[in-house]
Amino acid sequence: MDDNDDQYRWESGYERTWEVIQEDESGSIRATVNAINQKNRRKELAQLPNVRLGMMRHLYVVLDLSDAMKDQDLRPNRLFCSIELLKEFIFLYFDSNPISQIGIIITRKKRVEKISELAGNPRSHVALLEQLKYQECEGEASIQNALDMGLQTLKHMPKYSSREMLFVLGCLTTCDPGNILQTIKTCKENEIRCSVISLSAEVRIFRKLCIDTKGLFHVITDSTHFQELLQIHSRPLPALDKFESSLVRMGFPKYRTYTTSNANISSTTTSSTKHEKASMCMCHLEQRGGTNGFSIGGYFCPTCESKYCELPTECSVCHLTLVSAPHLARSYHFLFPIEQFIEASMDKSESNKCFGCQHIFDEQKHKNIFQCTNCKNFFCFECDLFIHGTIFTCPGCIRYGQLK
Amino acid sequence: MSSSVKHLVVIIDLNPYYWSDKIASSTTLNFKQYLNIIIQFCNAYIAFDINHRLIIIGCSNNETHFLYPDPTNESIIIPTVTKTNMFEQLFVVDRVVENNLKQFIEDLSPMNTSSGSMITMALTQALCYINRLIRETLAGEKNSFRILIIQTTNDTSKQYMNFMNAVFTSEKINVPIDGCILNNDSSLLQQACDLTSGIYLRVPDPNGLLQYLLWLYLTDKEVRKMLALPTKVAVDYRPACFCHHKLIDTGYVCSVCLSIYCDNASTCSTCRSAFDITNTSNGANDSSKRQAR
Repeated sequence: MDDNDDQYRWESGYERTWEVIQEDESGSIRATVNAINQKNRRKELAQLPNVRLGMMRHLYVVLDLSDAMKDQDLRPNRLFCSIELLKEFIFLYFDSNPISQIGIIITRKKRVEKISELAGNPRSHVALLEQLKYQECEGEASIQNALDMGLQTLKHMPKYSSREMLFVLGCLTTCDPGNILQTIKTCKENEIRCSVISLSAEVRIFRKLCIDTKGLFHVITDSTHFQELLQIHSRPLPALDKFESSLVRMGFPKYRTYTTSNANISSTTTSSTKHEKASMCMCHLEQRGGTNGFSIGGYFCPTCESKYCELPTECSVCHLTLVSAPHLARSYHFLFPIEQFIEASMDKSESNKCFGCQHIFDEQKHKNIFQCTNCKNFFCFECDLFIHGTIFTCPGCIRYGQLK
Repeated sequence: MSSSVKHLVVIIDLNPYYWSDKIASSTTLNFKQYLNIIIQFCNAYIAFDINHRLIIIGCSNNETHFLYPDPTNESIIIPTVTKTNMFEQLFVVDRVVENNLKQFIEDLSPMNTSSGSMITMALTQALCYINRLIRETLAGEKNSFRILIIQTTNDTSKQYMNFMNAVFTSEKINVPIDGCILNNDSSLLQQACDLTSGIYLRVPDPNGLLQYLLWLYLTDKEVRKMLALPTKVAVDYRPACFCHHKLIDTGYVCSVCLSIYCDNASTCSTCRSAFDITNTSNGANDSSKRQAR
């Protein structure tokens, strides 16, 4: 291998992996396996402090639609499985990166095709992905063409956003019109981070692409692993060095019904008085013939008064990004992460209950309990995971924030 | 008959501030009546359906306490045949809540009562509790969960982030939050109810609290479709800027930490990153300019 330190498993030193596993009195290894699992899950959730994250992301997902995607090693086949997991991924992505955008590209028959432009509405992307399920997988994939297509759009994205491409590839080859190394170089120059999730095996050129552009390269072992990998990609990655910071102008529209008199701006949505006029929202304007989007209520752009039925979105008239406060609040937990709890022994705890779920600690069941370093409260393993993985708020520490 | 168990977590605000002299004149309800009403509501909830389960969490200015269920206290109380021939389960609930309340109120610290209650702490604990119940659910069972917050104090802006985190969690695990407030309107609670599709109500007359509780909060989502619910008021989702704490329509957001400012600033006060002011504009215009150059 050329420039990377981690070698293939068979090239590295001889490891006695089984020595970690110990049997208990009854000969069961469940306890150790559980302990290893617990450790891994805690490690996964540990966040590095003081790392600047790329909070605004522009991401293209490149989905392989080549022959290789027909394989049935993932059930029912690679394509179906990938699409199902990608749908989940899109919702996760917008949950962690509320003001980011995503686009979808597919590659087959040595060509590429843009399924959706960079946009911020998860539902439309998911609907488009759903349609892909019934398309034929054929021919070979072309990484270079996909990179070129992504480059065209991404290089014009503002410097303060994180530009990324995520490849989900089943193929082991790429059929390119020119020198792919040149394209990789251009990606590197434009600071586009390319990551690959390979469904089959490691391919040198994929790995090189990821290393050169500072992306992540993974090969899946099974569908659960695939899901976990996508979860990693849904969280914002540490920002690259040349990252600029900037103030971005945004609009925070208020939901209201359109009224002829401006004085009655905050009228309720359900009461239908004479003043209310139904109008078409800008997001459904393109889909002609439907009655979707024809309503009296909506979000109105604060600068140009165009109407939208959903947030977040970009105003198609004045290009102002429209969001609401909870969208921004959703990602604040990345900025103020809570510290890891430390493992403690049962006898140290004053109370015999978990501070979160009020479960009474049991000598046998709860081998490890966890203590928050700030508020000194004790938690069971489940609550520890839940607090660090989902709530992002330690129940005990709220009191201290309040009294300050 | 489906055997799905319905859990309701009631979070009651027991901050003594609302019942103190400063505010008491504006309301005709006293603390004892308030507690009575809540116990009546809880009894009604348990008696309503055999599959109903109840969890009561009390919270004051700096403490929270699980009032019910309390496994250690419950075993002490032996349901005896009472004078009134009361339903055994209700008898146990009443005694346990009564005992716990007494203890909780005795332990109250009079410090900082005006600064709001530990609603957020109770909410996160409720979510932890629900999370454990979800994990213990056997395959095939379909249990539903719901949280009801009865608040008497004003919001505290210090809890905003923690509160929103809890609300997003609740949204993720599909637990509606219902809010019932006795005092002034609470924008935090309003947002929580709107995001999790629960019902928010500011009780216009505290004397009718029991009626309001029975009307709106006894039933779950399915039954609510058939009820005449209070009209939904559009929730104001505009944020306050970090610099002047004013509500704004358009603002500038730091690309690194997402802090909101109402005007151009040279550095971000939250993450201390310096901005290149010449570059400031909104995304799409920015890119078109760069292309033109």
